[in-house]
Amino acid sequence: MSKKKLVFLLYYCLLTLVLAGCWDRVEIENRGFAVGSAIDLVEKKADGSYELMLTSQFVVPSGLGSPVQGRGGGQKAYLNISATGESLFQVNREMATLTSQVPFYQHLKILIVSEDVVKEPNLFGNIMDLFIRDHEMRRGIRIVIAEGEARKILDIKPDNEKVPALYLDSLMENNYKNAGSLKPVHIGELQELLLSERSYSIPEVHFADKFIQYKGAAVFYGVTNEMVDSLMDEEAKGLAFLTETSTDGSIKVNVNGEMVTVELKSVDRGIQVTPKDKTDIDVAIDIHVNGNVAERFGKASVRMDSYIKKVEKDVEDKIEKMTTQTKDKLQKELKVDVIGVGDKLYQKHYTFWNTVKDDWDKGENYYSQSKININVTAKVQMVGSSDKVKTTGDD
Amino acid sequence: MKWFEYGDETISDKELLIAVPSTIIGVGILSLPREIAKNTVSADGWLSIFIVGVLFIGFAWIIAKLASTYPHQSFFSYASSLVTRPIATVLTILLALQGFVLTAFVMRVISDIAKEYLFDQTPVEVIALSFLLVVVYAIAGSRAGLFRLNMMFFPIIIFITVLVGGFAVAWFSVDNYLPVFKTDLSGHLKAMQTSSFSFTGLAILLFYTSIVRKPKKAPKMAAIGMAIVPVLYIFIYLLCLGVFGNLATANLNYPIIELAKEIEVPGGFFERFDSIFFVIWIMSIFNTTAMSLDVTVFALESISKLKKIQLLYILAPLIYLVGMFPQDLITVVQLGEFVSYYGVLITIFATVLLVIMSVIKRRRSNV
Repeated sequence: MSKKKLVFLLYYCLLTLVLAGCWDRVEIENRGFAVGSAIDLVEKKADGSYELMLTSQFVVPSGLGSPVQGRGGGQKAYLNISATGESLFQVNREMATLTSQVPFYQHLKILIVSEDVVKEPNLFGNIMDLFIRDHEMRRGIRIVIAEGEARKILDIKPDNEKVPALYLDSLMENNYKNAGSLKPVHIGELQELLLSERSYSIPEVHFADKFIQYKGAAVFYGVTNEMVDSLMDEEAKGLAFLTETSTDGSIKVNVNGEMVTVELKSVDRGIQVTPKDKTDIDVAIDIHVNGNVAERFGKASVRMDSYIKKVEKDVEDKIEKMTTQTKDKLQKELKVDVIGVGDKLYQKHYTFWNTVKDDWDKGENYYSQSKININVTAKVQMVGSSDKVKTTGDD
Repeated sequence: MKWFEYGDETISDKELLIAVPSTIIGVGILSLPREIAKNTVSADGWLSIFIVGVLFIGFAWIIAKLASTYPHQSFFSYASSLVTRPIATVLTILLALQGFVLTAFVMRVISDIAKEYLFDQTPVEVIALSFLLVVVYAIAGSRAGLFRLNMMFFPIIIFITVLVGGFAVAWFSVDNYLPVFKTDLSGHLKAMQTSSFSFTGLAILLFYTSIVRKPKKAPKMAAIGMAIVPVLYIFIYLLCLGVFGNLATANLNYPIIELAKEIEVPGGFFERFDSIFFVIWIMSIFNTTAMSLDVTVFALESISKLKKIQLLYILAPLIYLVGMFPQDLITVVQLGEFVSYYGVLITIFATVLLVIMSVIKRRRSNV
């Protein structure tokens, strides 16, 4: 072999090293797949910094088992690891020393933040930075606020799911689709909210024995990103009507003393803002709902026009009551623009918005001085497959 | 070693058409939505891209028209006849230099992005080297083959962009486009300035028109090819704006990659769409670097006695050094600004000079 050929041969062999591209290789067995994380406040230090606790839930694949294998030999399907520190990134690195695996966050589904953390001014916005900045984090991570300790939520033991974080994830998705809860907030949306200084709401979960209840809403003040209050039950439902474009919940009303449940099929919401003057802004919120009669006690015929009209009227009144209550609380008491009136001003009345934006829900607070009117129209479209199930009875 | 030789080193007019967007679309669009969103209100920036796009379509037509007036003549030979040999040599070197720095810059940027998103541990130097080696390998072969590679990659790039758009519909909000037309003139001018940087690479037309089989069609084809660029840019820009809104777009380093990261293929069996998008986008960046390096080699071939392979051996290490020279992100951005300014200015300068000379010459010969 000539010398030149030998040099070439050596050169090609060296090149294959680059081609293999295994500099970043991590075997899949060595990756710890984090599916959920929880952030708790440990203490507020005297110098104003915070000691935080990050808990991550890693999936233990052998505990999951395959359908054939059954329940995987009774092994737990997850592993929770907590570490504390000031910087979440460092905490995360510290966590790697506690486990035999490399934490891998690209499949992170859910981030639970404790109420204690978000009630401190500015802290929430700061800690979200890592989750937005780090390339490993996906923008679809869902965020929830937890009443009490967030890491406890990662430890609940539901009967039907093996990994608590995945349970919470599907719970949120289902509740949003079926029970008229608030839509889960993604970290990508949160970045937009943080940047715009707009006030917003994030779904809140409550720890109830073996289950998680997912139905409240934590209300945030956009300027400091601190949680100012939480809306529960009726108020949260009212908020859903005011902010969500589609709410597939149900609504229960009393017609002539008999209970009727209307299943909502579609909810359309429109906001019209007419700014006359800085202190005289008219806001008209139109909510239009379509629904079907889902369940009814009593014996009046649902095929009668007058009866349907009555149901519609009652649904309208009920929604109006709920939304007005929420609106009053948000506008007069908390003075935060979660409904998005400011957005409408920006979109439709840009020049006017520029004159008020610095005093919108801060400073002069023109928002709380505006007149918001809610107008609800309801339409019952279908009554189900039967008119009534009994003909004689109460009256 | 034996090389496969194509019958002739000429290209069809369609290949020229595809070569234009292949060269121009590259790293610019990755950050373009951010730069434009910064300077404009809501989604007004599409107007800036549109205006710049129309200007560049006209510009592409003029360049191709100029080059096709001298059919089958290389840039150096028609430039020599217009502005004398020494000036033509200087022009060729200056234009070759723009392809040279563009290659170095693009190589550096793609390595940085690849490190950020894909290779956490691999050094940038190694990523850049392996990328450059592939580019050099492509150029070492047939020139016409390179154009065919463009033809092959380009539809895939369009397809993946449209696919991202399709999946992004779920995250889309039309409200993000309101209000309309509220940007002031200075905002538009700034946005136009930054978007013009994403249109560098037209200089290839000055050189490659000479190897087109039917040069008469070249101006039309160049203009059509150029038109694809703003259309794709506006599509991507509006997509980012619709999903992220103006504020978030202005704060994301590479909005389109984040967009690929945000979308989820329904069904949940495939969560990391960004990796596919990224791999395909590297094809587009490969096209950019291959074309701009090849045009440099092509230009220098015409003025020196060196062979293509020899030139390549000299240029490749230099490109690597220039690309690796910036130490941090700030210097890379500065290099990028220099590359863009220089690329646009030198191309305009050379074209305008030659067009004027050519018009004067024709007047004289008519008289």
